[in-house]
Amino acid sequence: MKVDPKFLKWEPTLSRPRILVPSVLTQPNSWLGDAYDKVALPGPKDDVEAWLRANGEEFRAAVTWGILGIPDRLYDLPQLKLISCVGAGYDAIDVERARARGIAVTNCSNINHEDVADVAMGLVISATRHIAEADRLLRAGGWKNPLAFHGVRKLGGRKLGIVGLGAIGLAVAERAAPFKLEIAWWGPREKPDAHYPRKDSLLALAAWSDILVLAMPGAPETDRMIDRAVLDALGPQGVLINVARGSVVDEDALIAALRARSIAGAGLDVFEQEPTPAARWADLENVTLTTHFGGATVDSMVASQQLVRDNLDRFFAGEPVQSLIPELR
Amino acid sequence: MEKPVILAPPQVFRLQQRFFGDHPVITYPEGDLTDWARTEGKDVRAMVTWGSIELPEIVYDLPRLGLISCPGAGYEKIDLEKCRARGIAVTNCAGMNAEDVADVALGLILSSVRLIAAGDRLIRRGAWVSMQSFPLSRRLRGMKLGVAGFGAIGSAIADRAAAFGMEIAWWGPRPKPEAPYPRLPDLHALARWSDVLALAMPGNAEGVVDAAVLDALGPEGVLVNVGRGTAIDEAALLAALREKRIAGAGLDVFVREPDNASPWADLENVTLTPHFGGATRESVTDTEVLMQENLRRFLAGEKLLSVVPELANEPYAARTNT
Repeated sequence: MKVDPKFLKWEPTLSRPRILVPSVLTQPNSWLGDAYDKVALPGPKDDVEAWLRANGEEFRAAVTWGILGIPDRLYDLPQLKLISCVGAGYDAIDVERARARGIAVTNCSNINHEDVADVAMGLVISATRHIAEADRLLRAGGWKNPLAFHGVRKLGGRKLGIVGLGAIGLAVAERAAPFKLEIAWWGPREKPDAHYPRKDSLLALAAWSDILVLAMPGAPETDRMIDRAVLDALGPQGVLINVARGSVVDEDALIAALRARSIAGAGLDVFEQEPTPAARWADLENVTLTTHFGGATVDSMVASQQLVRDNLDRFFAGEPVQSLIPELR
Repeated sequence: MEKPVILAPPQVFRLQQRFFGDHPVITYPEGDLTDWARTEGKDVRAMVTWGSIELPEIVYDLPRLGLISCPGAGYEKIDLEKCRARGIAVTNCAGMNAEDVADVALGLILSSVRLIAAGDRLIRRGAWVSMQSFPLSRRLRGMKLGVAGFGAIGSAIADRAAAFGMEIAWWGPRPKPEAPYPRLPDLHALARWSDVLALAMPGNAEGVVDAAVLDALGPEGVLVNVGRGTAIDEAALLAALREKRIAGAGLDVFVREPDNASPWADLENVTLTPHFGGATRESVTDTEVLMQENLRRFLAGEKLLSVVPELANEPYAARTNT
């Protein structure tokens, strides 16, 4: 991967470099190891100016979660040239500001997309075949006669629409195929190499779909993209699955639609607020909820951590970093 | 002309006139059928029953009974030798819902390995308090799925799981040269090889999943059952789950159904569903169509569809057309 030389003006160094990390990673036994002098990023309630006076401005690299980012003021750190995001997302990173300041931003895409797709399919089956709902019922001492689920539709032959045919969306499509689900997708850009038909618009995809799977990135242009109009287009037989970001759904509109049965059900791994309050979902039996763990496998965690460490090592050795985000390539 | 009487379980299907035409339908009485069979039972010509339910002997002696019609694939509790001796035809509805059952099997595999139902329970009891509230799980790609019983359901499970990157092997009593996955020598060997063991065996495989098989599956292993509950020694499974000698289970079937779920209710690593794998609108409709057609043919003295293989060569005309 070619990297703009302006990202690489730092010479190798022998002293232990100081890096910024979320406070949980400052612990001596953290996976980041001891090669770096780890300083906790200021928290949302901290006074950043006071923090700067205490810690100085001599930081060249930051490690963070894409959903957390770094405080605005720290983009101005004169020597900061790398922000390394753990995970695929980088929604909280101000990409334009990073570009203007010559800061390289890396993420860990294409590491956990299959894990997220697995959970997406688990939610598809749970929501359409009532698995988590039945599990709750049996544990509460009930037993619903299978015939009471008579309205349940066969998965085969139903229509699965995917919003965002990136790595996750493609992995969902590959998994859905042997279930004999018909597949279409929509995203803002044509993909000539995609094997599945692209619908003209998000609304057209929702209207066509029995099951709508959200796999787009969290970004300003996807914010609350799934609104009441999209849910109405999905319709009373439709099921919504979200493994993308909570921010892409108007969650109040979704809850209203579920309550009014203007959509049939949902499977949600991500929420507007995380952790999501239990009370928000208490009366909604037709929803399967999971704890934003789509990508949370041992395998993907180990691989992401390795990539972050490799990038730090490369950066401080003056070598090109891997996995720059697409906007900065 | 006198109308033939049909006996059906109270909850079976929709029990509407359109299913049974204008034939009188008697539903099963509660409890022991013996007294009932001596009185009202004497007029019964055809009976609908689940193949997993044992019938009292007197039912086979009902003087006019000529057809036992099973809505599902299984008929393991029907006494075929008695039926043969008395000229009773037995029909089933195999293959109608294999894909639906396989879909639920994959749902249970995903729920067990990726902790989906457990995550749902955790959120709903308000226990999701930080991003560290939940353990990491294993990646499905590369995990080994053993399928026990490689009929229509087993092979549909394998085809689905292959798309998730799972490695697949199977065991069943008969080799199947056309199967695209390797067959291991026995159930024990399959369990030892497997990370996930999915049971899709017919009801005659009673108690084959015992403590030894569960220990072969091991502490990282997950058991999923969409076949029959009786395949599993449930006491051994409960002990193995409690002692973490296996990692988890997904169960659509139980030894007793409807089941009292309380023995399982304190186990977080289990997903429980009420034997609904095959219960989709489409498969129920297909099953109804087949059963109606069999009933019509039976009453008209025509050749039946889907007679179970063991009785396929028996002559039935004699008692059906009286």
